[in-house]
Amino acid sequence: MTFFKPHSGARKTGESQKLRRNLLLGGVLALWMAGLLARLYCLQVVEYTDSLARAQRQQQRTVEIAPKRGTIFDREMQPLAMSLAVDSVFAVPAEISNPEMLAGLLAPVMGLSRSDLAGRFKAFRSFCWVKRKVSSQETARVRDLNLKGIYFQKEMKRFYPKGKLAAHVLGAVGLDDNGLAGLEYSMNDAIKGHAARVVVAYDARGQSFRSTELDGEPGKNVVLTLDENIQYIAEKALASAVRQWRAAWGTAIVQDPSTGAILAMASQPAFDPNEYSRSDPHTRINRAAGGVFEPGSTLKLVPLAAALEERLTNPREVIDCQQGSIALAGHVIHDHKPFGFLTVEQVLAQSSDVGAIKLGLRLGEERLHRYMRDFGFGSKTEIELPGEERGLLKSPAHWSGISIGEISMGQEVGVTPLQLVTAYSAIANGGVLYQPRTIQRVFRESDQTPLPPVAGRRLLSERTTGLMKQIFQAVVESGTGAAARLDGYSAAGKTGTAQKIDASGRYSKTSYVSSFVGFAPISRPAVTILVVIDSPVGAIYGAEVAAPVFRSIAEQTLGYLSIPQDNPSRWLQVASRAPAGLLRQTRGNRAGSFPTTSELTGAATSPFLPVSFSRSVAASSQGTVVLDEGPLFKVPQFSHWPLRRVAEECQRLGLELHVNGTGLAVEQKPPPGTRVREGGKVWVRFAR
Amino acid sequence: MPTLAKAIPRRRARRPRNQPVSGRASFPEIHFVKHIDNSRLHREVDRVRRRECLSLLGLGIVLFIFGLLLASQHFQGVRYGYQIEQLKAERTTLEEWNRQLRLEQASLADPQRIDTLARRNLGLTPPKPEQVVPIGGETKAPAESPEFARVFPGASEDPSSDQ
Repeated sequence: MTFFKPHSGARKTGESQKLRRNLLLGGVLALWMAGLLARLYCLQVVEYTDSLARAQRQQQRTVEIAPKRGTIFDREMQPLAMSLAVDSVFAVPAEISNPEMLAGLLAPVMGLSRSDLAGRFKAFRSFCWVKRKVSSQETARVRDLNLKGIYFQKEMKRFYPKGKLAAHVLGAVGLDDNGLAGLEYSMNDAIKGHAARVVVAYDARGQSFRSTELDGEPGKNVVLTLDENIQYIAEKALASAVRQWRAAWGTAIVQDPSTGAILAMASQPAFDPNEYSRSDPHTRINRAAGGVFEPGSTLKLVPLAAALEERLTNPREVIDCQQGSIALAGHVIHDHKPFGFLTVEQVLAQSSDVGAIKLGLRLGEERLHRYMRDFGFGSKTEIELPGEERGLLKSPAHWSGISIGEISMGQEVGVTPLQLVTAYSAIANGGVLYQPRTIQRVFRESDQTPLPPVAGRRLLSERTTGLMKQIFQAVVESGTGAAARLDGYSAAGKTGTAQKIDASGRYSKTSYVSSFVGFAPISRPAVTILVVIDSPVGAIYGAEVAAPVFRSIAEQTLGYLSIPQDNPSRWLQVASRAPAGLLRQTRGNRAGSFPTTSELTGAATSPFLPVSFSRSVAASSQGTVVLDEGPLFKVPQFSHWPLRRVAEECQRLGLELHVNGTGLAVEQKPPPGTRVREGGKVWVRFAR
Repeated sequence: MPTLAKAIPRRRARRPRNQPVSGRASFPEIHFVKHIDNSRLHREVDRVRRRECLSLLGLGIVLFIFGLLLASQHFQGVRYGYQIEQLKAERTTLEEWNRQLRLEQASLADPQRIDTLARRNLGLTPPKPEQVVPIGGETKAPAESPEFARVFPGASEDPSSDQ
């Protein structure tokens, strides 16, 4: 075999050609790569910003999400105001070919004027609202029409599920979701939150495949000190009284005296915050915080407390009420009745103006003014609600000669209901003045910021408040506040009837403000309640107009709060059916103490008493009632009984029931058939 | 290597159009057949190049798989993006529905509505104080409230006898 070796020259030529080709190819490739790199550099570096912006314009859209307003709860976490996303209908008029026809279709569906709608379609080009925050039914009807140029957008709408309940405290929001009144206004910054921007990436079919939320912050939730049930009790009782007496307005406040927390704040007339724009402006005023009035006798609290605190008097001191008139700086002030000598306690119980003026005179202008200021009159309580008034309290430099007398009896001074109830709460809690408040806490899911603890200011000594409680109790038990006497609970308070100033600038003879403020139960007050009725028709006295409202609110509220009864209501019930003489004796008793032996003996022989009761009073000795233990009962078999039946049976037998669990009775102690005496304890466990 | 050459026999045939006419000079066409037998040629294996090739191929495959993985992850990510958006929309809808239900619940629990139903439909009235049965708790009688004395079995009825 022979191998031909190529000619060296030819080989060199071939290699050089190959090399050339390779070089050429490499060069072309390098040029191509360089071109690509150059373009890439141009796109990624030089034109990066523009390209990115163009891509984002095509692929991404930034949508602004309206912030969700926080929910407002009552203290039991029942929602009183909350926001929901609803549809708003808008149009793009440029896409509408026949505005008249479209307006004709939309107007009846949405309850709008056809001409107004057509006018809007013609006036605007790119955007106009058709109707904002529409109902789901309206949305469905418009969607069914499937109209060109009509679109929907989600917006947040505020709802108040309890209607008028606590409307003056809650307030309302406008169409743009900003608070307009009440806490919605004063807490707007916290409740509203901040709008979120959501960057959404869309594909070629316009379907989103990525979204990023920026900057958004939902509004904070607010928990109030209000209790919706107590609020309802107060509103119902107040509305009934305002209706009955055809009053101009009325307000009722229920406060926890131990903390200053407002449990209920009612004003009449009221409005529905769901229909705020349609409500009468007159109904929107929160009279509890912004209604300044001359309090009348309820303000006798100040000269009396100050005189006791300064040890200028004591409840037993007798004051000459000068047969109901006193001359002061050339003016003669008359009492509503001609009183002679009254003890300090009776001065308040009978609401003698002359007695109160004499106490005020003992204090002197400076000291009386200082105590007025200390009680919080003449300055705002700084409650969280907007529109609070500071009232009217002149400095002594501006007082006339008669001012000290007028102020001592509650005139020539303007107070708000909130100031007055807070002052009485200071008496109820032993002398500490707490700032009234309606907000318990403000929170967001991720942010539980506690509010600063409640701090009070010592105003009076416990000795003084103890004496004041006795005096106010006497007002209810034997004085002008008899209509405020509670069934089952002891109560203390003061009536007030103040003349209003008429258009001529003089005190009116026909127009009055009737009020009652008090607290219960006396030993450990759970609530302080103020009722103010303005310009009642048919009756004018606080005892007649406002005290029954106090009674209605207090009885229901104390029962609702499960406050143990401290007044023997059952006995009073029995006594109320007894002869009139016995009734007087029993009612004359101080609340909180049980009937005397003689009353019981009389009651025991009364034909109106139940047999078991008559039997139980067996003997007496030296003012102490001694009761026989009574007969023995067999404990029933409670097995599989519901709680109600067990409770009724225990009540019938006079047994004290202790419950554990819910459902049907599964276990009891003592066992069925055990013989126990009336008042014996029974423990029953329930299970489902 | 010998080269064979032979004359190709001429045949009488119709003169093709491109052939010269007879009488003119013509050049014989010679066909050379060259037999080359490379059967015994063996190319020497270049192991280094082969390794390089294989490495290159392996790298290419790895890169391809990596690219494929990257691409699949990217598309999986996009798919997840769609799913996440869908779930977000669903969550928003459900949250809104939940809020609607809570609003409805709050409306139904309105004390005024319950009061009206209780009074009109069920004929209920507020309980009187004596109808309220305290359950479970000790009644916290105020300190100043007097208590009834009770006759306990075995105890003397005369308090003075205790002394």
